[in-house]
Amino acid sequence: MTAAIKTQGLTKDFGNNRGLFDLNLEVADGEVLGYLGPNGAGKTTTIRLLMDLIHATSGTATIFGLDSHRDAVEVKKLVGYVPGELPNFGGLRGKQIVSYMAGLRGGQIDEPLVEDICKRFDIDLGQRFREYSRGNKQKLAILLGFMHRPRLLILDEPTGGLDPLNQQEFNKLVREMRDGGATIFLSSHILSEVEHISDRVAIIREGRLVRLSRLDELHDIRFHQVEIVFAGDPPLAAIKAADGVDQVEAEDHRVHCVVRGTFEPLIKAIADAHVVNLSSHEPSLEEVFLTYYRADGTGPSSAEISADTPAASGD
Amino acid sequence: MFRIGLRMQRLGIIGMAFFGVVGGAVQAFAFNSAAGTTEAARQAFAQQMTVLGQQISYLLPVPVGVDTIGGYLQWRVYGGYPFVVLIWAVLSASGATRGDEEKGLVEVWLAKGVSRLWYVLVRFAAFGLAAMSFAAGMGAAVYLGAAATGNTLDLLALVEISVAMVGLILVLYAIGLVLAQLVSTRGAAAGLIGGVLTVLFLVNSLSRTVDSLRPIARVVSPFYYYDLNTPLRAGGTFDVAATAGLFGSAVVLAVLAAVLMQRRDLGSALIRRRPRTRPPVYRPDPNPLLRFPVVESLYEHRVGLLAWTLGTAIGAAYFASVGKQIVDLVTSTQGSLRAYLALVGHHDLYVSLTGFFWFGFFQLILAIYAITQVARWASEDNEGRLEMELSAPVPRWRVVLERAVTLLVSLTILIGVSSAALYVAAHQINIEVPSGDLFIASLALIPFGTTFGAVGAALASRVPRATVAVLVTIAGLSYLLVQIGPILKWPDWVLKLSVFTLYGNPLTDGVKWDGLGEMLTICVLGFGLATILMQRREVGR
Repeated sequence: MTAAIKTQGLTKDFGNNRGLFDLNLEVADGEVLGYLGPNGAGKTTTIRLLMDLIHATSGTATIFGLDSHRDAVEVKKLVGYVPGELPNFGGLRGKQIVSYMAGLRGGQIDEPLVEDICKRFDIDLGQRFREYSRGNKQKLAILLGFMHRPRLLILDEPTGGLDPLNQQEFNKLVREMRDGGATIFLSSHILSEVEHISDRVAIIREGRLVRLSRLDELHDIRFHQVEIVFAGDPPLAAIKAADGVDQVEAEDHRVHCVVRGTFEPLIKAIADAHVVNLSSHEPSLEEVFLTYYRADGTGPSSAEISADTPAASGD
Repeated sequence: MFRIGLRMQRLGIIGMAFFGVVGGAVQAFAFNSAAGTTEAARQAFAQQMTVLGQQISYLLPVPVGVDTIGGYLQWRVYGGYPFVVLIWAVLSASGATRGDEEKGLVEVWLAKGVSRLWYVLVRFAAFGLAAMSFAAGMGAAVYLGAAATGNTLDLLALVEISVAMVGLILVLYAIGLVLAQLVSTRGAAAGLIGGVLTVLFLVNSLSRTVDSLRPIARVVSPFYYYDLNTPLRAGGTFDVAATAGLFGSAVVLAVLAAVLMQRRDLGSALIRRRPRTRPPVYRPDPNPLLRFPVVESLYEHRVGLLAWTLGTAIGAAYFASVGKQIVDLVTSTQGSLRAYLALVGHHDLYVSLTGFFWFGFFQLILAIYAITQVARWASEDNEGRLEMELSAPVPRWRVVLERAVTLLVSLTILIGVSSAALYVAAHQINIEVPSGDLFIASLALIPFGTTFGAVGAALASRVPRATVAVLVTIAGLSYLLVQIGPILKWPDWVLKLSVFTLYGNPLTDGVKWDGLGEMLTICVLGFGLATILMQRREVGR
């Protein structure tokens, strides 16, 4: 079966160690891949290479077997693209922008789907583009990417600016598209944003793929920073002994710790104590990297990743 | 913030300094060639200019004492530049308020604790410094140009008229700052400021011949008070009160703009219409015009195209209507002007003059139109529109082809309507412009305008940010070359450096085939190069 996306040694070197280097990645047809990385890691560069907006220094990318550069026009018939930021359409109304983009696609548009997405996200296409709020502009970008029911959706941080309710609606829409057979390549810099909808997650840092795993294999790098306030003395010994709990620090009745994996051992450890407050914070991906990978920025190489993860090798 | 304000106006400062210095110096240089060096020749020149000047008093003040270099420069340079600085004020005021607001810069400054009053006043002061630099540069160029040809100018008078010029520029800018508060977009601000300032300009210029307009001009038009200053000409005066009034009005208006800005929401107009209640729209626009290449672009920019077409059609009709008076004037006088106009050569002097004046001026208009289209392409590329287009199954060459065809179609509309207006207006006053010649002359204008588009398309694909500045420089220098070169009797090879000479004067002389060939070659090469560069370039913000 032809892969939806396949890159081999894909490299875009901007100089000064900036860009994307030696990316070997394969996304199966019908799969949802979360493409994660902190700001400036190379996510948008990858997407622009796939969309043939920029040209690779070396390596190749194919989409459904078509070369993303040589067969760019054919590729784009199959792809829906949501950019990180919509261009300025000035005084055009939303409905005019939709028609204009449909015209560029040779009339390729699913009008009932347009209506459905507009209603679900409450997008009023009668407004002028410059009158839209940031969130509404993002919703319009999502609509323009999905409106022709593409086989492959390439989404560059599509939920930026959306409120939690709309983010949920977006996740639902992505699942529906996947159930309809679409492949989804979804970039983000927030792990929790993609974990609800992705089958696998690729993590990129400083232009290099550092990890490609199924979601359930990511527990080793996931952690939460937890703060617990007790009414009396905290059960420090039990907390320190709990599986997956470390970096325990106490200050009067307040305890800070880091929890990796499930919360169950910690909850059991404090079950007999009187807890006044418990708060948990998921660190940003950058914090995860700083904790999980070496602080000097060197992590496992693409070659190491390839050895660990068969899909990353392109096999 | 003052430094940033200056920096953000650097393009305008450089452009205006260029036009001020070059225009001022060239006119000072040209005086001896145009007016002659003997007393008799200068008297004859002054007589012709006085009569001619009355015909174009809608544009320039009535010339007085142009037999001296002071009078000539007072009329030709300091009388002609108010319209140029009007355009500068429109672009700068709309850019400093709404333009920077649309870019989000004003929000950043206000968030840093800068008050709105301070913001407006600092931008006003920065523009004031830019205006002073322009006036000083132009004054120096005029003085040195005159000295280089053995003429002397009263330095104090030059300083006085430069001060008056700064006062005028500042008050125009301040009016722009006030008007920009009333609308919400840069485009609307530029339209409103341009419209109002043009009306103020016309009220004053028409009041030179229409007495009933004079009291109105005295009340509303800053151009009226600027015109009261004539220190360069013999017996002229520097009106201290009028100049102080210009500066005082500018400061009051700038403060008013700041007060109005304090009373409105950022990104909104001062007075907002209540939005109409309507049900939300969930379906694409059924308008088929939005779905076809070229047609979509023409439809999207229809208001601009309509405004350009109407403006040029009115201009063409006006030129045709005054052509007869000018010809009568020329035929009733002797001397260098008649000899100069005879160079354009045609059996019918009316047709000859129409061709010379209108088609000469129209070329400049078309060059400016083409540059505005190129500026739009460059801004679409920078703002991500190209990225969206290329995310659809659109080959890159099609983007260039669409732009070229859209420009061709819009130029054809612009030229066709204007030429029709010229023909009808000329016919009304019994000048029969041969329709075949007019058709050929109009047709040859299409490749002329497209030439600028082709060069711009190639530049926009490589250096989008510098494109407009380069094109404006090419157009400005080319126009100056054909306007001034013949007066200064520059050699042919120098004149041929101007793009305008490629067009020639087909209305009277027939098609200049070599020039047409060169224009078509530039068009093919320019768009060809743009296509190659478009294939290779990287897209994205």
